[in-house]
Amino acid sequence: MAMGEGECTPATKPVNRPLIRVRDLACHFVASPPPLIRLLQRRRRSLLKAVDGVSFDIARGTTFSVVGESGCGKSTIARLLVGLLPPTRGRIEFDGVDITGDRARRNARALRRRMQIIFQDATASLDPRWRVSAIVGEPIRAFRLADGHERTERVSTLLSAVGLDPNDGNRYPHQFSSGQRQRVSIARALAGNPDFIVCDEPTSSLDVSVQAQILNLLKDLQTRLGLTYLFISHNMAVVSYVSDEIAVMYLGRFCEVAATQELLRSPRHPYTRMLLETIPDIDAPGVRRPPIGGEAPSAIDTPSDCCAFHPRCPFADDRCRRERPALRPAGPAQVACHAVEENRIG
Amino acid sequence: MPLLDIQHLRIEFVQGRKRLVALDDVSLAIDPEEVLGVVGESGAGKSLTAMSVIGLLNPPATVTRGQITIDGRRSDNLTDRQLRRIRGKIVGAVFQESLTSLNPLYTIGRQLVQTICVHSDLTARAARGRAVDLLAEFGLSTPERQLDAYPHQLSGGMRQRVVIALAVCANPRLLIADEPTTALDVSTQAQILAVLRRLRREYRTAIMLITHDMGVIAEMADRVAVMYAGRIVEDAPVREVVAHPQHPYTAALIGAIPRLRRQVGRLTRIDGAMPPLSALPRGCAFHPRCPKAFARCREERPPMLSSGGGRAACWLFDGNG
Repeated sequence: MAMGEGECTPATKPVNRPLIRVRDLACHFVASPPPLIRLLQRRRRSLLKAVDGVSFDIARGTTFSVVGESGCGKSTIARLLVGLLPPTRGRIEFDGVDITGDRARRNARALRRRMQIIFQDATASLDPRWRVSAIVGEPIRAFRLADGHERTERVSTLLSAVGLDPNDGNRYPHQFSSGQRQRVSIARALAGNPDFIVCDEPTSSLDVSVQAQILNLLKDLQTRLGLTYLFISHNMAVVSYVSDEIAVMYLGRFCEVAATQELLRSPRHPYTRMLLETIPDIDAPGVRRPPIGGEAPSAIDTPSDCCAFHPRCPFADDRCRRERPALRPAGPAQVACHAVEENRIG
Repeated sequence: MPLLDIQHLRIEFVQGRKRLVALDDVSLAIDPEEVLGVVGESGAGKSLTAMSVIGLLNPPATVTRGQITIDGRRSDNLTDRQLRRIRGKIVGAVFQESLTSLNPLYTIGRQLVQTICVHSDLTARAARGRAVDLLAEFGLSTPERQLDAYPHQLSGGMRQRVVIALAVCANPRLLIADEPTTALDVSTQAQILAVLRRLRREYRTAIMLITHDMGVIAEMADRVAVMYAGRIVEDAPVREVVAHPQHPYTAALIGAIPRLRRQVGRLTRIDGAMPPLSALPRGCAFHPRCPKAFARCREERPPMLSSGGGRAACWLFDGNG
C-alpha cells in the first residue's frame, strides 16, 4: 500500500494475500524450579506466558510494528516468526505456507532464505573472528546462491547497498562503529534476497544521528526491494516513523492494533493513551504529564480471567476484573477493552 | 552568583605516550533552582563533565586547565576529605545504572539510614523515619516494607527512586542526574521525572540533567547545553533550541529525532559519526559532517558566539552579534 512506484510487473502472485499470517500464536515458558526442588518446596508449576494468543497479518511491502514496554513479549514474537523458538500453540503462515507444523520442516531451507532477522546488539550477533566479507557471504554460501568470484561480487554490492565501502569487507567487526556494525548485520540479512525481515529493536542502542541513518536505510531498502518488515521496538516515535500498522502489546497480548496515523491521532485503549501521554515530547516543552500509578506486573502466572491492564487502568470496573477482553473492531482500529466496547471512555 | 560555575575546563587522558583531550574549553554555569539539560551523543563528554564536578574523575583522566566553582568555592583542587563535605550536602549525584549505585549486600533501609546519619545529627530511629518519608514522597508504595528489601528485590524504577533518595537525603543544592531514566520504560521514566520535578518545586534543588533524549530535556530543563566531541557547541534556553536551533549540529540532531506529533517524510541525515578523541579534525570538530562548513571551519576552531537567544560555537555567527 505504501509503495506507489516501481510496479513494473503486473502482480503474478495473489497480491491481496498477506505475506505473513499469524493466528492465536502463543509461547509459554516453564518458570518453576526443577521438578524435584519444586516437589520438596511444595510449589505449584508456574508458567511465564510471554506471548499468549496474538493474531495479525502483514501485507507485502509493508511494515507491521509491535510496540510495548520491557517484558511484554515483543521480542518473543520476533523469535517465533523466524523459527528461533517453537510456539506453544498457534499457527504462522508465510506466503500461504504453514511454517509451524511438522510438514514445514521439508521446505524449511527455502523458507528460511526468505526470512531474516536483525538484532538489537550488532556486536553480539557478529562473529568477532570473522571478516565482514565472510559474515555477509555466509548466507550466500549456506543457501548455495553463488560461489567464488560471483560471491565476492555480491558481498561488495551488498556492502555498498547498506552504505559501507566494499573494501570494508576485509575488516573485522570490532573495527567498525556501532552504527556501521548494524549496517553489516543488515547486509547479512539481505544476503539471501529475503522477502521478509524481522527487525528486533535495531536502533535501540544507537545514538540519535546514527539511528536516523539506519531508519532511513531500512526505509530505502524497503522501497527498493519491496521488503516486508516486522519491526519490534519500545520507542513509539521510532515506530511511528517506520510503520504502516502498529500493535501495542501488554503482558503477552495485543491491546490495540491500528494503522499508524489512526493510532497516533485517536488512541483508544487506555494503555495506548497512557503510553502516548507519558512520552516526553520535544514538541511540547515544559508540559506536565499526568502521574501514572502502579508497576507493570510480572508475566509469570498472570490470571487469564481478567484484563491484564486492570490494576493500572482508571476505567477498570467489575467486568474488567472478571473477564478477559478480546481484540474487537472499534472504528478503523481493533481494541481489546471492555471500556472501549461499552463506550465508557469519553 | 551561579551555584555551579565551570570555566574553560580541559580534561586529558594519558594513553601510553599519547595525551587525548577529552574535554576542551568547557564553560557552563547553573543558577540556583535552575535545571540545565546537557545533551549530546555518546562520547561527547557529558558524563565526564559531571564526574569532574563531584571530583570523581578516574586517574588516567585529569583536569589540566580551567576551574570549577561550587557555591562560591573552588572545588577542583580539593582533597578527598574536603570533597566529602561537598558531596551529599551541596552536590548530590545519580547515575544511570541504579544497581551499581547500591550495595547488594545491605538492605536499602540500612543504606539510607547510614547516609542520613552521616549527614545529620539524627538518631538511627529518626533517620529511619526520614527515609520512610522520603520514599513515600517519591511515590513508593509501602515504604516501611521496602526498607527491608535488598536492591535486587526492587524493580528498576523503584531502585532508581531509592538512589535519588540517597542523593538528596542531605538536601543538596545541586543534583547531578546522569542519564537517570535511560534504561527505564516510559511509564517508569515518567515516575522518575515526576520525582525530579518535585525536588525542584519543593526543595528548590538545581539540577544538571544529562541525557541523550531531547524529549526529556524539552520537558524538564530551562536551558540546554549541547555537547559535541568534548566541547559545548550551543548553550541556550530550551524553547529556543527546540524551535530555532542555531548550531548546524543541534539543527541536525533535532531533525534526526523521530517525532510523534510532527511526522516527517524523512529524518535529517548526518553522515558519518562523531570522531574519536584520537582523531579530532583541525578547526571545528563538526566540520567534516557539517552541510554549512566553509574554509574557515577547517582551519580555526570557533569560540562561543552569541546567536539567537543563546550562544553557539560556529563561525556562521561571527560578526552578526
